[in-house]
Amino acid sequence: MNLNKILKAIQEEGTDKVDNRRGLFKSFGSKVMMASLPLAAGSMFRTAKAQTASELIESLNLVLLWEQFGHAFYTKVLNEGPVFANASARAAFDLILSQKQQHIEYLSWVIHNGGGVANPAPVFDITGGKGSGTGPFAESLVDYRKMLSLAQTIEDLTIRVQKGTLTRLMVNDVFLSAVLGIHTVSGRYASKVRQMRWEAGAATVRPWVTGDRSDTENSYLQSYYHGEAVTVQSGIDMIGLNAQALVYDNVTEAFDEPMAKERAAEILDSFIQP
Amino acid sequence: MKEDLKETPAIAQKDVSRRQFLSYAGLAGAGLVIASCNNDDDDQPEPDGTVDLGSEDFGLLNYMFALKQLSAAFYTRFTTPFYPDAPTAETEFVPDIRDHEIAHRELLRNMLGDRAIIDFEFVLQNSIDFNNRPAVLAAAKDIEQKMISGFLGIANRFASAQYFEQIAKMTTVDGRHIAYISDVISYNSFALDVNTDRKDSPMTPEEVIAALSNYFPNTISAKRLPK
Repeated sequence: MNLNKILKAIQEEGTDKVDNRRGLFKSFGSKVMMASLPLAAGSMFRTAKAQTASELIESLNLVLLWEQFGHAFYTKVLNEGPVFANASARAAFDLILSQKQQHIEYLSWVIHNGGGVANPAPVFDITGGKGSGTGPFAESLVDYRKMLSLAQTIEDLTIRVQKGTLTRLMVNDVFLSAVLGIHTVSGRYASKVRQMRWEAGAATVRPWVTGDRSDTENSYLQSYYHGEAVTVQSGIDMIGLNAQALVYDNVTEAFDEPMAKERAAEILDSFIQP
Repeated sequence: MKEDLKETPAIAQKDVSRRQFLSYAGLAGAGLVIASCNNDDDDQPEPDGTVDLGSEDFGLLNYMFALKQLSAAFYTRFTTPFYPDAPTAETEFVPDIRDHEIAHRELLRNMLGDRAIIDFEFVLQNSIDFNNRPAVLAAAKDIEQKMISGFLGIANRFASAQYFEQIAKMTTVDGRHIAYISDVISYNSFALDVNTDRKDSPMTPEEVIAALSNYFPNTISAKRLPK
Protein backbone atom coordinates (compact mmCIF):
# COMPACT_ATOMS: atom_id res chain seq x y z
CA MET A 1 0.00 0.00 0.00
CA ASN A 2 1.63 3.24 -1.01
CA LEU A 3 1.44 6.54 0.77
CA ASN A 4 -1.22 8.08 -1.44
CA LYS A 5 -3.49 5.10 -1.04
CA ILE A 6 -3.15 5.30 2.67
CA LEU A 7 -3.89 8.99 2.75
CA LYS A 8 -6.88 8.55 0.45
CA ALA A 9 -8.19 5.72 2.57
CA ILE A 10 -7.82 7.85 5.65
CA GLN A 11 -9.66 10.74 4.08
CA GLU A 12 -12.48 8.48 2.95
CA GLU A 13 -12.87 6.99 6.37
CA GLY A 14 -14.36 10.18 7.74
CA THR A 15 -14.38 10.92 11.42
CA ASP A 16 -16.66 8.13 12.55
CA LYS A 17 -14.38 5.16 12.02
CA VAL A 18 -11.70 5.81 14.48
CA ASP A 19 -10.76 2.21 15.00
CA ASN A 20 -10.15 1.53 11.35
CA ARG A 21 -7.93 4.55 11.13
CA ARG A 22 -6.12 3.35 14.18
CA GLY A 23 -5.77 -0.03 12.51
CA LEU A 24 -4.11 1.51 9.51
CA PHE A 25 -1.75 3.35 11.75
CA LYS A 26 -0.92 0.35 13.83
CA SER A 27 -0.41 -1.92 10.84
CA PHE A 28 2.41 0.31 9.78
CA GLY A 29 3.91 0.56 13.20
CA SER A 30 4.48 3.93 14.70
CA LYS A 31 8.23 3.89 14.12
CA VAL A 32 7.90 3.29 10.41
CA MET A 33 5.22 5.92 10.36
CA MET A 34 7.51 8.42 11.98
CA ALA A 35 10.35 7.70 9.62
CA SER A 36 8.56 7.55 6.31
CA LEU A 37 5.61 9.89 6.42
CA PRO A 38 5.53 13.63 6.81
CA LEU A 39 4.09 14.82 10.08
CA ALA A 40 1.05 16.19 8.35
CA ALA A 41 0.03 12.69 7.30
CA GLY A 42 0.25 11.45 10.85
CA SER A 43 -1.90 14.35 11.91
CA MET A 44 -4.96 12.84 10.27
CA PHE A 45 -5.15 10.18 12.91
CA ARG A 46 -7.09 10.26 16.13
CA THR A 47 -7.96 13.92 16.40
CA ALA A 48 -10.47 15.37 14.06
CA LYS A 49 -8.64 18.66 13.84
CA ALA A 50 -5.65 18.25 11.57
CA GLN A 51 -2.34 19.43 12.93
CA THR A 52 0.30 20.43 10.46
CA ALA A 53 3.91 19.61 11.14
CA SER A 54 4.59 23.23 12.01
CA GLU A 55 1.70 23.30 14.49
CA LEU A 56 3.11 20.23 16.23
CA ILE A 57 6.54 21.79 16.42
CA GLU A 58 4.95 24.99 17.71
CA SER A 59 3.35 23.02 20.55
CA LEU A 60 6.67 21.43 21.42
CA ASN A 61 8.36 24.82 21.33
CA LEU A 62 5.72 26.16 23.71
CA VAL A 63 6.54 23.39 26.18
CA LEU A 64 10.22 24.13 25.64
CA LEU A 65 9.67 27.85 26.26
CA TRP A 66 8.12 27.22 29.67
CA GLU A 67 10.98 24.90 30.61
CA GLN A 68 13.35 27.70 29.58
CA PHE A 69 11.35 30.16 31.69
CA GLY A 70 11.54 27.89 34.72
CA HIS A 71 15.22 27.35 34.13
CA ALA A 72 15.83 31.12 33.98
CA PHE A 73 13.82 31.62 37.16
CA TYR A 74 15.66 28.99 39.22
CA THR A 75 19.02 30.15 37.90
CA LYS A 76 18.27 33.75 38.86
CA VAL A 77 16.93 33.11 42.35
CA LEU A 78 19.67 30.62 43.21
CA ASN A 79 22.38 33.06 42.12
CA GLU A 80 20.93 36.46 42.94
CA GLY A 81 17.87 35.72 45.00
CA PRO A 82 16.88 35.79 48.64
CA VAL A 83 18.43 33.88 51.51
CA PHE A 84 16.97 30.40 51.48
CA ALA A 85 15.40 28.85 54.58
CA ASN A 86 18.07 26.17 54.71
CA ALA A 87 20.46 24.08 52.66
CA SER A 88 17.73 21.54 51.84
CA ALA A 89 15.65 24.24 50.21
CA ARG A 90 18.55 25.21 47.98
CA ALA A 91 19.18 21.56 47.19
CA ALA A 92 15.56 21.13 46.08
CA PHE A 93 15.91 24.08 43.72
CA ASP A 94 19.26 22.80 42.45
CA LEU A 95 17.60 19.51 41.58
CA ILE A 96 14.67 21.15 39.78
CA LEU A 97 17.05 23.42 37.88
CA SER A 98 19.26 20.57 36.74
CA GLN A 99 16.25 18.52 35.63
CA LYS A 100 14.82 21.44 33.68
CA GLN A 101 18.16 21.79 31.96
CA GLN A 102 17.84 18.17 30.88
CA HIS A 103 14.25 18.68 29.76
CA ILE A 104 15.44 21.56 27.60
CA GLU A 105 18.14 19.43 26.02
CA TYR A 106 15.75 16.53 25.54
CA LEU A 107 12.94 18.61 24.02
CA SER A 108 15.39 20.36 21.72
CA TRP A 109 16.57 16.96 20.55
CA VAL A 110 12.99 15.74 20.00
CA ILE A 111 12.13 18.88 18.03
CA HIS A 112 15.27 18.55 15.92
CA ASN A 113 14.59 14.89 15.19
CA GLY A 114 11.00 15.75 14.36
CA GLY A 115 12.21 18.01 11.58
CA GLY A 116 11.74 21.29 13.44
CA VAL A 117 13.88 24.00 14.91
CA ALA A 118 14.05 24.39 18.69
CA ASN A 119 13.63 28.05 19.54
CA PRO A 120 16.48 29.55 21.54
CA ALA A 121 15.56 30.91 24.96
CA PRO A 122 14.55 34.57 25.01
CA VAL A 123 15.92 36.94 27.66
CA PHE A 124 13.65 36.53 30.65
CA ASP A 125 12.81 39.08 33.33
CA ILE A 126 11.59 37.10 36.30
CA THR A 127 10.29 40.27 37.97
CA GLY A 128 7.59 40.41 35.28
CA GLY A 129 8.86 43.81 34.13
CA LYS A 130 9.46 43.07 30.43
CA GLY A 131 13.17 43.54 30.89
CA SER A 132 13.07 46.45 33.33
CA GLY A 133 13.92 44.21 36.27
CA THR A 134 11.43 46.20 38.35
CA GLY A 135 8.19 44.34 37.65
CA PRO A 136 5.54 43.26 40.17
CA PHE A 137 7.64 40.30 41.29
CA ALA A 138 10.86 42.20 42.00
CA GLU A 139 10.58 41.28 45.67
CA SER A 140 11.07 37.65 44.70
CA LEU A 141 14.76 38.45 44.57
CA VAL A 142 14.89 39.55 48.21
CA ASP A 143 11.96 37.86 49.98
CA TYR A 144 12.14 34.06 50.31
CA ARG A 145 8.42 33.57 50.80
CA LYS A 146 7.50 35.78 47.87
CA MET A 147 10.06 33.99 45.77
CA LEU A 148 8.38 30.68 46.66
CA SER A 149 4.99 32.11 45.71
CA LEU A 150 6.27 32.94 42.25
CA ALA A 151 7.99 29.54 41.98
CA GLN A 152 4.72 27.82 42.85
CA THR A 153 2.84 29.78 40.22
CA ILE A 154 5.42 29.08 37.53
CA GLU A 155 5.18 25.35 38.27
CA ASP A 156 1.38 25.29 38.35
CA LEU A 157 1.26 27.29 35.11
CA THR A 158 3.82 25.02 33.47
CA ILE A 159 1.50 22.09 34.14
CA ARG A 160 -1.46 23.94 32.68
CA VAL A 161 0.41 25.05 29.57
CA GLN A 162 1.72 21.54 28.93
CA LYS A 163 -1.75 20.11 29.43
CA GLY A 164 -3.09 22.52 26.85
CA THR A 165 -0.82 20.97 24.22
CA LEU A 166 -1.61 17.32 24.88
CA THR A 167 -4.60 16.69 22.66
CA ARG A 168 -2.82 18.46 19.81
CA LEU A 169 0.14 16.12 20.24
CA MET A 170 -2.00 12.94 20.27
CA VAL A 171 -1.34 12.46 16.59
CA ASN A 172 2.32 11.73 17.18
CA ASP A 173 3.35 9.03 19.65
CA VAL A 174 6.91 10.30 20.01
CA PHE A 175 5.95 13.91 20.69
CA LEU A 176 3.14 12.91 23.03
CA SER A 177 5.37 10.63 25.04
CA ALA A 178 8.06 13.32 25.24
CA VAL A 179 5.72 15.87 26.76
CA LEU A 180 3.71 13.50 28.97
CA GLY A 181 6.79 12.10 30.68
CA ILE A 182 7.85 15.66 31.55
CA HIS A 183 4.25 16.56 32.44
CA THR A 184 3.96 14.26 35.45
CA VAL A 185 7.42 15.34 36.64
CA SER A 186 6.19 18.93 36.49
CA GLY A 187 3.46 17.83 38.88
CA ARG A 188 6.23 16.67 41.22
CA TYR A 189 7.92 20.10 41.13
CA ALA A 190 4.69 21.98 41.80
CA SER A 191 3.98 19.71 44.74
CA LYS A 192 7.46 20.20 46.16
CA VAL A 193 7.42 23.98 45.90
CA ARG A 194 4.01 24.06 47.54
CA GLN A 195 5.32 21.87 50.37
CA MET A 196 8.20 24.31 50.77
CA ARG A 197 5.71 27.13 51.13
CA TRP A 198 3.80 25.14 53.74
CA GLU A 199 7.02 24.52 55.63
CA ALA A 200 7.77 28.26 55.41
CA GLY A 201 4.54 29.05 57.20
CA ALA A 202 1.93 29.37 54.46
CA ALA A 203 -0.55 27.24 56.36
CA THR A 204 -3.33 27.21 53.77
CA VAL A 205 -1.13 25.98 50.94
CA ARG A 206 -1.32 22.34 49.98
CA PRO A 207 0.69 20.34 47.42
CA TRP A 208 -2.36 20.55 45.10
CA VAL A 209 -4.39 23.52 43.88
CA THR A 210 -7.52 24.15 45.93
CA GLY A 211 -10.23 25.91 43.95
CA ASP A 212 -8.54 28.64 41.94
CA ARG A 213 -6.60 29.91 44.92
CA SER A 214 -2.99 30.95 44.59
CA ASP A 215 -2.79 31.30 48.37
CA THR A 216 -0.75 34.43 47.80
CA GLU A 217 -1.50 38.11 48.31
CA ASN A 218 -0.26 39.00 44.85
CA SER A 219 -3.15 39.89 42.55
CA TYR A 220 -1.16 39.05 39.43
CA LEU A 221 -0.37 35.58 40.69
CA GLN A 222 -3.97 35.12 41.75
CA SER A 223 -5.21 36.05 38.27
CA TYR A 224 -3.12 33.28 36.75
CA TYR A 225 -5.23 30.67 38.55
CA HIS A 226 -8.41 31.61 36.74
CA GLY A 227 -9.93 28.46 35.24
CA GLU A 228 -8.57 26.02 37.83
CA ALA A 229 -11.79 25.68 39.85
CA VAL A 230 -13.70 23.16 37.75
CA THR A 231 -16.30 20.97 39.45
CA VAL A 232 -17.90 19.44 36.34
CA GLN A 233 -15.65 16.92 34.58
CA SER A 234 -16.67 15.27 31.30
CA GLY A 235 -20.15 16.68 31.85
CA ILE A 236 -20.42 15.01 35.26
CA ASP A 237 -21.04 17.17 38.35
CA MET A 238 -18.46 15.92 40.81
CA ILE A 239 -19.90 17.51 43.94
CA GLY A 240 -21.41 14.74 46.05
CA LEU A 241 -21.08 12.31 43.15
CA ASN A 242 -22.41 8.83 44.00
CA ALA A 243 -23.02 9.92 47.60
CA GLN A 244 -19.28 10.27 48.24
CA ALA A 245 -17.84 13.04 50.42
CA LEU A 246 -16.81 15.03 47.36
CA VAL A 247 -16.91 18.78 47.94
CA TYR A 248 -15.58 21.89 46.20
CA ASP A 249 -12.10 21.70 47.72
CA ASN A 250 -11.21 18.08 47.10
CA VAL A 251 -12.93 17.98 43.71
CA THR A 252 -11.08 21.02 42.37
CA GLU A 253 -7.81 19.71 43.81
CA ALA A 254 -8.25 16.37 42.08
CA PHE A 255 -7.91 17.78 38.56
CA ASP A 256 -5.33 20.08 37.00
CA GLU A 257 -6.87 22.12 34.20
CA PRO A 258 -5.34 22.95 30.81
CA MET A 259 -4.62 26.52 29.79
CA ALA A 260 -5.05 27.86 26.27
CA LYS A 261 -1.80 28.81 24.56
CA GLU A 262 -3.13 32.33 23.96
CA ARG A 263 -3.57 32.96 27.70
CA ALA A 264 -0.19 31.39 28.39
CA ALA A 265 1.40 33.79 25.90
CA GLU A 266 -0.30 36.79 27.55
CA ILE A 267 1.06 35.80 30.94
CA LEU A 268 4.55 35.08 29.73
CA ASP A 269 4.72 38.34 27.79
CA SER A 270 5.60 40.41 30.87
CA PHE A 271 8.39 37.98 31.76
CA ILE A 272 10.18 38.36 28.45
CA GLN A 273 12.42 41.22 27.37
CA PRO A 274 11.21 42.28 23.93
CA MET B 1 -11.68 20.97 21.57
CA LYS B 2 -14.98 21.21 19.81
CA GLU B 3 -13.58 19.17 16.95
CA ASP B 4 -12.06 16.62 19.27
CA LEU B 5 -15.34 16.00 21.00
CA LYS B 6 -16.88 14.78 17.78
CA GLU B 7 -15.14 11.48 18.18
CA THR B 8 -16.78 10.58 21.41
CA PRO B 9 -20.28 9.83 20.16
CA ALA B 10 -18.81 7.61 17.46
CA ILE B 11 -17.04 5.52 20.04
CA ALA B 12 -20.10 5.39 22.22
CA GLN B 13 -22.21 4.34 19.29
CA LYS B 14 -19.83 1.61 18.27
CA ASP B 15 -19.83 0.25 21.74
CA VAL B 16 -23.59 -0.07 21.77
CA SER B 17 -23.49 -3.01 19.43
CA ARG B 18 -21.02 -4.82 21.61
CA ARG B 19 -23.04 -3.96 24.66
CA GLN B 20 -26.20 -5.25 23.02
CA PHE B 21 -24.45 -8.49 22.20
CA LEU B 22 -23.26 -8.81 25.76
CA SER B 23 -26.65 -8.04 27.18
CA TYR B 24 -28.22 -10.75 24.98
CA ALA B 25 -25.67 -13.08 26.46
CA GLY B 26 -26.60 -11.87 29.93
CA LEU B 27 -23.25 -10.19 30.38
CA ALA B 28 -23.87 -6.47 30.21
CA GLY B 29 -20.65 -4.49 30.40
CA ALA B 30 -17.20 -5.85 30.70
CA GLY B 31 -17.62 -7.80 33.88
CA LEU B 32 -16.70 -11.33 34.79
CA VAL B 33 -15.79 -13.44 31.82
CA ILE B 34 -17.42 -16.80 31.34
CA ALA B 35 -14.90 -19.36 30.29
CA SER B 36 -16.73 -20.24 27.10
CA CYS B 37 -17.09 -16.64 25.96
CA ASN B 38 -13.87 -16.27 24.09
CA ASN B 39 -12.83 -13.56 21.70
CA ASP B 40 -10.90 -13.43 18.48
CA ASP B 41 -7.43 -12.72 19.70
CA ASP B 42 -7.48 -14.97 22.75
CA ASP B 43 -5.77 -18.28 22.45
CA GLN B 44 -6.88 -19.52 25.84
CA PRO B 45 -10.20 -19.03 27.57
CA GLU B 46 -10.01 -16.94 30.75
CA PRO B 47 -10.35 -18.77 34.04
CA ASP B 48 -13.51 -18.12 36.03
CA GLY B 49 -13.38 -14.97 38.11
CA THR B 50 -11.11 -13.15 35.70
CA VAL B 51 -12.09 -9.53 35.16
CA ASP B 52 -11.85 -8.56 31.53
CA LEU B 53 -11.18 -4.84 31.11
CA GLY B 54 -12.85 -4.83 27.73
CA SER B 55 -11.81 -3.24 24.47
CA GLU B 56 -11.45 0.18 22.83
CA ASP B 57 -11.47 3.35 24.89
CA PHE B 58 -13.82 1.86 27.46
CA GLY B 59 -11.26 -0.86 28.09
CA LEU B 60 -8.64 1.81 28.73
CA LEU B 61 -11.00 3.67 31.05
CA ASN B 62 -11.75 0.39 32.89
CA TYR B 63 -8.01 -0.12 33.31
CA MET B 64 -7.72 3.31 34.93
CA PHE B 65 -10.88 2.56 36.94
CA ALA B 66 -9.27 -0.63 38.29
CA LEU B 67 -6.15 1.31 39.36
CA LYS B 68 -8.23 4.07 40.95
CA GLN B 69 -10.33 1.49 42.78
CA LEU B 70 -7.11 0.14 44.25
CA SER B 71 -5.68 3.52 45.23
CA ALA B 72 -8.94 4.78 46.72
CA ALA B 73 -9.33 1.60 48.78
CA PHE B 74 -5.70 1.80 49.81
CA TYR B 75 -5.85 5.41 51.02
CA THR B 76 -9.19 4.79 52.71
CA ARG B 77 -7.61 2.04 54.76
CA PHE B 78 -4.43 4.14 55.21
CA THR B 79 -6.41 6.91 56.93
CA THR B 80 -8.88 4.85 59.02
CA PRO B 81 -7.04 4.66 61.27
CA PHE B 82 -3.55 6.00 60.60
CA TYR B 83 -0.56 4.06 61.89
CA PRO B 84 0.38 5.03 65.47
CA ASP B 85 2.00 8.44 65.98
CA ALA B 86 1.44 9.67 62.45
CA PRO B 87 3.05 13.12 62.06
CA THR B 88 0.82 16.14 61.44
CA ALA B 89 2.03 16.56 57.87
CA GLU B 90 0.67 13.12 57.08
CA THR B 91 -2.66 13.43 58.89
CA GLU B 92 -3.03 16.81 57.19
CA PHE B 93 -2.41 15.77 53.60
CA VAL B 94 -3.04 12.05 53.14
CA PRO B 95 -6.82 12.43 53.61
CA ASP B 96 -6.73 14.90 50.70
CA ILE B 97 -5.02 12.30 48.55
CA ARG B 98 -7.65 9.75 49.53
CA ASP B 99 -10.41 12.13 48.48
CA HIS B 100 -8.74 12.89 45.15
CA GLU B 101 -8.50 9.18 44.42
CA ILE B 102 -12.15 8.69 45.33
CA ALA B 103 -13.06 11.57 43.00
CA HIS B 104 -11.09 9.93 40.18
CA ARG B 105 -12.68 6.56 40.85
CA GLU B 106 -16.21 7.90 40.92
CA LEU B 107 -15.73 9.97 37.78
CA LEU B 108 -14.48 6.92 35.90
CA ARG B 109 -17.38 4.86 37.23
CA ASN B 110 -19.84 7.35 35.80
CA MET B 111 -17.96 7.80 32.53
CA LEU B 112 -18.13 4.04 32.06
CA GLY B 113 -21.75 3.59 33.11
CA ASP B 114 -22.91 0.02 32.56
CA ARG B 115 -19.65 -0.81 30.82
CA ALA B 116 -17.80 -0.55 34.12
CA ILE B 117 -16.04 -3.58 35.55
CA ILE B 118 -17.01 -4.93 38.96
CA ASP B 119 -16.16 -3.27 42.25
CA PHE B 120 -13.20 -5.20 43.60
CA GLU B 121 -13.43 -6.47 47.15
CA PHE B 122 -9.94 -5.61 48.31
CA VAL B 123 -8.40 -7.23 51.39
CA LEU B 124 -5.31 -5.03 51.48
CA GLN B 125 -4.33 -5.81 55.06
CA ASN B 126 -3.27 -9.24 53.80
CA SER B 127 -0.56 -7.57 51.71
CA ILE B 128 0.26 -4.45 53.72
CA ASP B 129 0.84 -3.98 57.44
CA PHE B 130 -1.13 -0.77 57.97
CA ASN B 131 0.43 -0.26 61.41
CA ASN B 132 3.87 -0.11 59.85
CA ARG B 133 4.54 3.44 58.63
CA PRO B 134 7.44 2.69 56.27
CA ALA B 135 5.52 -0.19 54.70
CA VAL B 136 2.40 1.90 54.18
CA LEU B 137 4.33 4.83 52.68
CA ALA B 138 6.29 2.51 50.40
CA ALA B 139 3.03 0.97 49.17
CA ALA B 140 1.59 4.45 48.58
CA LYS B 141 4.55 5.48 46.50
CA ASP B 142 4.45 2.24 44.54
CA ILE B 143 0.74 2.56 43.76
CA GLU B 144 1.16 6.21 42.69
CA GLN B 145 4.07 5.31 40.42
CA LYS B 146 2.07 2.50 38.82
CA MET B 147 -0.84 4.86 38.14
CA ILE B 148 1.49 7.41 36.55
CA SER B 149 3.48 4.91 34.51
CA GLY B 150 0.30 2.99 33.71
CA PHE B 151 -1.31 6.04 32.13
CA LEU B 152 1.87 6.97 30.26
CA GLY B 153 1.86 3.43 28.86
CA ILE B 154 -1.60 3.73 27.32
CA ALA B 155 -1.81 7.46 26.58
CA ASN B 156 -1.23 6.92 22.87
CA ARG B 157 -3.93 4.25 22.60
CA PHE B 158 -6.98 6.46 23.12
CA ALA B 159 -9.20 7.14 20.15
CA SER B 160 -11.10 9.89 21.94
CA ALA B 161 -9.20 13.08 22.68
CA GLN B 162 -11.74 13.93 25.35
CA TYR B 163 -11.22 10.73 27.32
CA PHE B 164 -7.48 11.08 26.97
CA GLU B 165 -7.53 14.66 28.23
CA GLN B 166 -9.77 13.74 31.14
CA ILE B 167 -7.29 11.17 32.41
CA ALA B 168 -4.42 13.57 31.75
CA LYS B 169 -6.08 16.04 34.13
CA MET B 170 -5.68 13.42 36.86
CA THR B 171 -2.16 12.29 36.12
CA THR B 172 -0.39 15.49 37.18
CA VAL B 173 -2.30 15.33 40.44
CA ASP B 174 -0.87 11.84 40.88
CA GLY B 175 2.50 13.48 40.16
CA ARG B 176 1.79 15.90 43.01
CA HIS B 177 0.89 12.95 45.25
CA ILE B 178 4.01 10.94 44.54
CA ALA B 179 6.28 13.92 45.15
CA TYR B 180 4.65 14.48 48.52
CA ILE B 181 4.83 10.79 49.51
CA SER B 182 8.42 10.51 48.26
CA ASP B 183 9.48 13.48 50.36
CA VAL B 184 7.80 12.04 53.44
CA ILE B 185 9.77 8.83 52.93
CA SER B 186 13.05 10.55 52.15
CA TYR B 187 13.29 14.34 52.18
CA ASN B 188 14.05 15.92 48.80
CA SER B 189 13.45 12.70 46.88
CA PHE B 190 10.40 14.24 45.20
CA ALA B 191 11.79 13.82 41.68
CA LEU B 192 14.54 11.24 42.01
CA ASP B 193 12.65 8.26 40.59
CA VAL B 194 12.75 9.42 37.00
CA ASN B 195 14.59 8.22 33.93
CA THR B 196 17.75 9.59 32.31
CA ASP B 197 15.78 12.27 30.46
CA ARG B 198 14.23 13.22 33.83
CA LYS B 199 10.84 11.95 32.71
CA ASP B 200 8.44 9.47 34.27
CA SER B 201 8.60 6.19 32.37
CA PRO B 202 5.68 4.33 30.81
CA MET B 203 4.70 0.79 31.73
CA THR B 204 2.40 -1.51 29.77
CA PRO B 205 -0.91 -2.63 31.28
CA GLU B 206 0.49 -6.15 31.49
CA GLU B 207 3.48 -4.92 33.50
CA VAL B 208 1.37 -2.80 35.84
CA ILE B 209 -1.23 -5.51 36.42
CA ALA B 210 1.47 -8.08 37.13
CA ALA B 211 3.23 -5.71 39.53
CA LEU B 212 0.01 -5.01 41.46
CA SER B 213 -1.49 -8.50 41.23
CA ASN B 214 -0.98 -9.21 44.93
CA TYR B 215 -3.40 -6.40 45.77
CA PHE B 216 -6.24 -7.42 43.46
CA PRO B 217 -8.65 -10.17 44.54
CA ASN B 218 -9.31 -11.10 40.90
CA THR B 219 -7.14 -11.84 37.92
CA ILE B 220 -7.36 -8.95 35.44
CA SER B 221 -7.20 -9.45 31.71
CA ALA B 222 -5.90 -6.65 29.49
CA LYS B 223 -5.95 -8.83 26.37
CA ARG B 224 -8.60 -6.91 24.53
CA LEU B 225 -7.24 -3.42 25.21
CA PRO B 226 -6.27 -1.48 22.09
CA LYS B 227 -2.60 -1.97 21.28
